[in-house]
Amino acid sequence: MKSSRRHYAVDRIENDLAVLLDDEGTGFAVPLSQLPLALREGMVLAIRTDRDGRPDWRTAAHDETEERWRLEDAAERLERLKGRDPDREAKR
Amino acid sequence: MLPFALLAAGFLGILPPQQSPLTLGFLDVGQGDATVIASPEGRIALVDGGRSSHDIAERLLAMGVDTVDLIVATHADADHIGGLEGVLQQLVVGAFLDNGVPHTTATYRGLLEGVEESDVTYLAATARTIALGSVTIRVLPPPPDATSQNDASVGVLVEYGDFRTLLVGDAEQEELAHFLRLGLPAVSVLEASHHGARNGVTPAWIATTAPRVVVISVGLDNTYGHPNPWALRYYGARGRPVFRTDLHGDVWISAARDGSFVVETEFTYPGDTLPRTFTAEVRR
Repeated sequence: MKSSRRHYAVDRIENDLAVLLDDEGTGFAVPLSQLPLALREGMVLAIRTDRDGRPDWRTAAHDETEERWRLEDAAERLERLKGRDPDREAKR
Repeated sequence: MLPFALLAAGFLGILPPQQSPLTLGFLDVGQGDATVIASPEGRIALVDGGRSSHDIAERLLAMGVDTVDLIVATHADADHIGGLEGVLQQLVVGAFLDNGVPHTTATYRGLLEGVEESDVTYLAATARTIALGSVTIRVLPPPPDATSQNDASVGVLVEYGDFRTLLVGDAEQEELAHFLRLGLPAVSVLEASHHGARNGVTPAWIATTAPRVVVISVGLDNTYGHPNPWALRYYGARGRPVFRTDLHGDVWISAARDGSFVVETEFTYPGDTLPRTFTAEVRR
């Protein structure tokens, strides 16, 4: 397997650990100290993987375009789903 | 794992014969959260689904549950929603309710796709009540300006006569204050927020909810430090029983309309001071 970049989303931050999920849904608890940037929940990172597919957390870079696309895609899906709510006129 | 039908039948023998029980199962899903609610009429709700993609579906099927009337995803963290797509794929689901706050993970996207592709009824987390047979599920909406998934957790107040259970996902102190402003009654059973984390409890939260029993859904030897020792002392103050899925396995509760209930755990552990079967009589 050639080295490449893969996406990992910050599922959540628990104390000094970031829980990152790859696109297969596999989770990794990574110490914040091993990541080169300040993280927040929902951030999408592009991370280089080695020939065996292992991520090198030190190469993490924020992929804002991918993150925005994912949020917009989710927001559109939620809007469509809200149209299926039988009580959709109800206000929070 | 205790067979669900047998367990409910067993509890029927403990409770007065004229009363059918509400059964709650706080399932040991490792580090995560999944609670099954079964009404006396056999209607089923599932609040969160653990992190494993198929574990919860297979466990429900093994219990003889092939239809879930309502799924509540309290928030989009993977340790709460990871198993819900599998439930949508393998069981018949009536309705799905979530917090409506987008997330960026593949797990979340897969779940939303699963809901979209199915014909389940989508329910937004508005201040609504849902009838699950003779059990009432009161939805506590998160604050509209929540800044994290945890603080956008949907609250669920389960009411069956005088018995009440409260589940609030991973709500942290800011959201707990929000729920208190909505107005909450004292409850019989409180599920500790955020797996027993320190940020999941406040003095006002305990004083208002005044639980008789606390259940913590948490994984054995998890890497996050859950549950927090300070929070544990708080939950266990004044001898209040605290049941933990990491130490007790599945925690099952059978409740009668008069507010009495029985807690039965899958197992005990060395040094455990709680009985495997704990009975809470009617509070006078």
